[in-house]
Amino acid sequence: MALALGLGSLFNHSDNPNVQFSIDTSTESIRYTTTRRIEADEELCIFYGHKLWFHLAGQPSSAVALREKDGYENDDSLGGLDILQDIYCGSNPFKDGDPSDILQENELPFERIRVIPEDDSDDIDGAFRTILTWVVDVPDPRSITDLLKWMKSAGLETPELQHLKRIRRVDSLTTILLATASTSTPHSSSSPAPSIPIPANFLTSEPYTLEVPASAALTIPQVKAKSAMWPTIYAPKRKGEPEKWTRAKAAWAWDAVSTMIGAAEEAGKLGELPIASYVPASFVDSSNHGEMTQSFVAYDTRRTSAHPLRHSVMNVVRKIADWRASSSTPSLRSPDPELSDPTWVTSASSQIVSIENTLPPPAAQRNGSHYLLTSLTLFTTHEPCVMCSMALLHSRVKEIIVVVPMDKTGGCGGSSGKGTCVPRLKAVNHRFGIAGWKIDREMDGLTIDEDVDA
Amino acid sequence: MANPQHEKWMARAISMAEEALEANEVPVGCVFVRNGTIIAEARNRTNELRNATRHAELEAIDSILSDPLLTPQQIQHPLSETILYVTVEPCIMCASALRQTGIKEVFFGCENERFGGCGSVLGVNQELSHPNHPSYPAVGGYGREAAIMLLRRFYMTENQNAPVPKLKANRVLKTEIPKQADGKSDS
Repeated sequence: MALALGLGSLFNHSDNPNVQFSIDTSTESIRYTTTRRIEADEELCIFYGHKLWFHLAGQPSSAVALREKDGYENDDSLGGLDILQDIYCGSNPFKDGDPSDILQENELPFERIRVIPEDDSDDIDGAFRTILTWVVDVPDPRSITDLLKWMKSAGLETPELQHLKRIRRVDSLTTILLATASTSTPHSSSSPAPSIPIPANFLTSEPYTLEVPASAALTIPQVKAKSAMWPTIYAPKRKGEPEKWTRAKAAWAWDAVSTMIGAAEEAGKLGELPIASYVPASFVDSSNHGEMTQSFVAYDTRRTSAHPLRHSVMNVVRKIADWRASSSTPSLRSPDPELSDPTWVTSASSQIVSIENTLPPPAAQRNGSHYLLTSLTLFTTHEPCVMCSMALLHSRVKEIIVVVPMDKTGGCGGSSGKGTCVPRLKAVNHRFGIAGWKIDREMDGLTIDEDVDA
Repeated sequence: MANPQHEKWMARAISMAEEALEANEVPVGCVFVRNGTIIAEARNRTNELRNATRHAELEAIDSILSDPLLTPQQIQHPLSETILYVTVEPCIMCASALRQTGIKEVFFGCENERFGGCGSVLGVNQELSHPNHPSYPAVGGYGREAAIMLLRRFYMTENQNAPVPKLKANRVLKTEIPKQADGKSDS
């Protein structure tokens, strides 16, 4: 093995390199030789090896992030360099360059899976899907403002109806859209929805149910067709347009993956399955204010706790919940014996791998935190099983980034993106983003049986 | 609902759901029965624990697995001789948890159209294939009306937190309950 420093670390990669290299063990050096005539100003490139973590963009400059790396290892027989191990163990490649650069999709260290319900394409042409809602007629226009205010305070402004206008006027009759009639309960099992009780001081009709379009209008003809049923928002771009990531945020994700893999490998050494989940403190820059100031990591403890459901996702969700509960009502909450499942308490102490910041969140954030993973990104070494995928949906996680897909047991689409995918189910009331980490590297420390529920 | 045993266990599950309602939790309750005896009973504690995953079923499973008398040794499917009665169809998360712990059979009250993991949204109990965990039967319709009424009462209460909580006299709790369309839960 040789480690190339100095000049050797400056070469970029090319699939069609103009420089080859060989190891001279007698002088402990690497010999670089041009393979063809080099034109003036032409960049000298070598071949790094086959296991590249980035997608080639055809230009050597696509590998610019590698330029400042510390060194690399020789991958002997192939004559390539196993750069991956080195990149991974070494510095964060996204720390170089302008941190505010928006990265192209193919420059990101992960690949996003589209999480759109199977039948969402139904309404591109002609027929469209509908949903059942509660509406109410308001004969007196003076009541409208108060009614809208009441709806807001009663929590009826749910995202599910964002694609619709709330008020319809036909001739002199005003109708207001109240809520969906097939209910969603925020955090638990649900039921058929009850009618909406409207305060008595509003002069309205009895609420009644009405079919309305299930999604926004994507085309002008759709605006007409859908608005004939109920006024519908025109949104020519499909929802779920991928969020832009800056180089600095990619660096944040890179560090998060490093921390998480470290935790999983640590778990493996302790006799647990090497599976870990990590919710880092929110990424903060000029346009992102961190919602979460603290990081949480947990690994799988099903073996030492003798509890088959102590998966890393469930463990990390529980840690965050416990932290939120304790930081929002610190004086009232003493440990309740009923809360303390002995197996949990035993394992909890060993799960804390790193807590980066112990400041409690500002008061304003505590109050609105009943959905505990709202706006947060969860990193996990292995695709979560169906139980954990739904736990993440209940917790309203914003997105998850997965290193190893679990095609037989996962609940987030598997390696093809076409397997069982809980957040893609039509009925569920929250969708979270899914991305697969792109590193192609030896991950022996993370190997688990493919039949395991992660 | 011919079997009086089912009625008896489900009545207990419903009383757990009532306890949840009193504690301002979504009213779902359950009991786990083994060899004709209740070995665990629980209800939703999502609000109290600030944890949206603390459903009744998971609360009860935790108490069973942490009790050395009920779970003397670590085996792959500790609930293989255990039956669950729960007021609402287990959600996808709980349905998967039950399959991973090898539950024998599930009886539930009303279906769960938003999250149901025993057929309403996803058939985690049976249709979904799994390399390790056996499927289990899940049958609805046991105490269905009581389960639905509890949920409705919960939503009425919640909406009374609105600024003007006075209700019109005619806006009373609806008591008609439509029959399950495909009849699958009325066995």
